[in-house]
Amino acid sequence: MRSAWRTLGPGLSHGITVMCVSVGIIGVSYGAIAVSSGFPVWFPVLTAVLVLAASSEFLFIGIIAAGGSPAAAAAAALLVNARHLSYGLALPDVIQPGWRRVAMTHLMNDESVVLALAEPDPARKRAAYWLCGAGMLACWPAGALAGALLGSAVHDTAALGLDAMFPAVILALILPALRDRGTRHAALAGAAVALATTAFLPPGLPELLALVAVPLSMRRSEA
Amino acid sequence: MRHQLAVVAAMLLLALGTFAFRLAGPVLRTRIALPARAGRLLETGAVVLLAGLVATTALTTDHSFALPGQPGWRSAGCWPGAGHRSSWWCSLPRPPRRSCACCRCDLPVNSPGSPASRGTVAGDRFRRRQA
Repeated sequence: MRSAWRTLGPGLSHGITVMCVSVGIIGVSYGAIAVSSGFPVWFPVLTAVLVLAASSEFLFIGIIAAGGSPAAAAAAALLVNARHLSYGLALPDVIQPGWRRVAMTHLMNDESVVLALAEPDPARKRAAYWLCGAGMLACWPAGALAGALLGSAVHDTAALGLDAMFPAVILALILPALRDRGTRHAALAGAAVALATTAFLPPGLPELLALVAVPLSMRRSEA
Repeated sequence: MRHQLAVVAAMLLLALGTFAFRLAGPVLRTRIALPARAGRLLETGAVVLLAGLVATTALTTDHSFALPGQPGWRSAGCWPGAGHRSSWWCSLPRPPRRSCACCRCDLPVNSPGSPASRGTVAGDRFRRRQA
């Protein structure tokens, strides 16, 4: 762990810390929402550890709280998590075969993937992924536990506008990759596709549909 | 009690399925050797996915594409809240409102899936789909 910190240097470690803290704060609202929807305190915490994918957990709890069946909630949340398949395909030099693979695989989430993609060399990729993922595994359930215990006292954490941090942080992290012209065009087109289809598709599908824009990057880089 | 068991079972299913999605990528990559260009394309794919995620979480609430009051707009300092109609311009204090438990973007009470949406068109359609 210490050597991983040293590999990264102060800038990126600072970024990871900020990201973990913001995820922890979102976790507080997650725990509070879960408890006020009638779930026991342990449920959001256990889910946070085992699933470790924020948006799908919010959706899962939301559907059940709204009276949906558990099976429907699980199916919808799984659809949201389908994007992890392409994350795994994009990071061959991060997750190596061996005993660590199980842990590394479980730590795959939006934040750790985006940090790993932003790093140029494999050692730094691995260190960023590992530290960010471990931080998420600690902060997300801890936040959920705090929120569940505080219960309705901080129910309206949404008023703080912390939900706005998630897209802002992810955007800041993919910016370096967008310097490449082909990638930029593909990302913009993909975002447009996701936005255009979000009105009539279930959550999770619009983001996956954004992938139809990937060939754009190939055409541009050849031209 | 039976319902609680079903919810826990569904959560475990979700955890297992998510892990399977995470595992599938690395496993496929070790089985199949890919040319460098395909590797680059997959990396672009991850960036495009993240860009789509940024766009949808910042500019939409739940499944509806309605601009005012979304996290992204709010972070720009504009549009106080999707739940009320009065003011469009910036920097007005947002009125307290119940947030819906649907997903990370804080939803107005009448969003599909929230209990308060009974009787609204979107809410009823959502529940019909669930049933």
